[in-house]
Amino acid sequence: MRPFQAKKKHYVAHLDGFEAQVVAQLAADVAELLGASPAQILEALGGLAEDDAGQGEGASLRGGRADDGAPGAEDGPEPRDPWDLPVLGALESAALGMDPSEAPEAPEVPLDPALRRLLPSASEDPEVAAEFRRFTQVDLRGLKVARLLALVRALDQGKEKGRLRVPKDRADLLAGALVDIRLVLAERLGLDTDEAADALYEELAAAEAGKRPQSSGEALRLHLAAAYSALTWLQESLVTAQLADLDASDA
Amino acid sequence: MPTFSARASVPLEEVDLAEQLGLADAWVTIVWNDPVNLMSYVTYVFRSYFGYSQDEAERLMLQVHHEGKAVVSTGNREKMEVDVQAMHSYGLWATMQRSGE
Repeated sequence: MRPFQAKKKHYVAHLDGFEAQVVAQLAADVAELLGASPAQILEALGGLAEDDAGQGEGASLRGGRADDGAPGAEDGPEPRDPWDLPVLGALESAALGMDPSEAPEAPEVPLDPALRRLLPSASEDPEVAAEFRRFTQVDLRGLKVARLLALVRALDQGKEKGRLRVPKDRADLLAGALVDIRLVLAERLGLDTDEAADALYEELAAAEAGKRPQSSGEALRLHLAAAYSALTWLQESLVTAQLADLDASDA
Repeated sequence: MPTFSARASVPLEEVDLAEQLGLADAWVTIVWNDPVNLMSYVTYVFRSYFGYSQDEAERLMLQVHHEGKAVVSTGNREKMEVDVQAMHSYGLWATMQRSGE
């Protein structure tokens, strides 16, 4: 995995086949949690799902500090940019098969704490919160599903070159998708405080130093932790590039 | 963005006072600390969405980080609904409430 770098009109990161497949699967899982249909997800996963990922030599999800600076020439426009999402209202009805014009009932507060973090309550006042959910939740869900599936498609489209590419003016969509995946992983990992998040890196460091997982549960936890850490690292590189561009446009 | 019609009822004397002060519909958007969102990302969101300067965005981000929350915008209820929804779309945890509550 190599971090995002700013090109002329895009931000580009590099992921090997295994990494791309893991990230795509996580994105698909979160989209499913948000209510995307199996058909939508399979369609987005398309090529990646069929591919045998095992080509990366000992591919590790570990971010690490890659020695980077790959030149990676910017290519011409591709047939259809997966990040070129239609405008929200129409998009969300297409994405979820709901008609937003039908006045919805106030949706229930989600039971799954991870979903509750993706679609949080907008107020401590239950009435204000319910009303807010009623008018915004379908749109918010639709946006989140659409950008997660755009990430899946972008990974598929970039798999030949092992890259993940997003137009600069659409990079917030990718950043949001990465945050949503990390929010769900963090919830599953029990990272509910800054201290717990810090402790995760100690666990990873111990594993790296040779401490073997003592159970299958521990092994699974390490996998999720490694994915969380790698996505955090990837996100940091993206936002660093975005902030640099904000500085440049302010100057 | 749909407009909301219902309004929480408040005691009359408060309404009077609020109206005199021109705060009849003053609400705030609050962003809460969470262990997932990066400090750099929160700063980026405050800059790019609200248009705050790097210094102001960083000050608010640090307030969220150290104090657990910060008021990031004020305005009428409709405006705060837009801001809260935007924060949720960025993956930040935000709520709205009447100013001064």
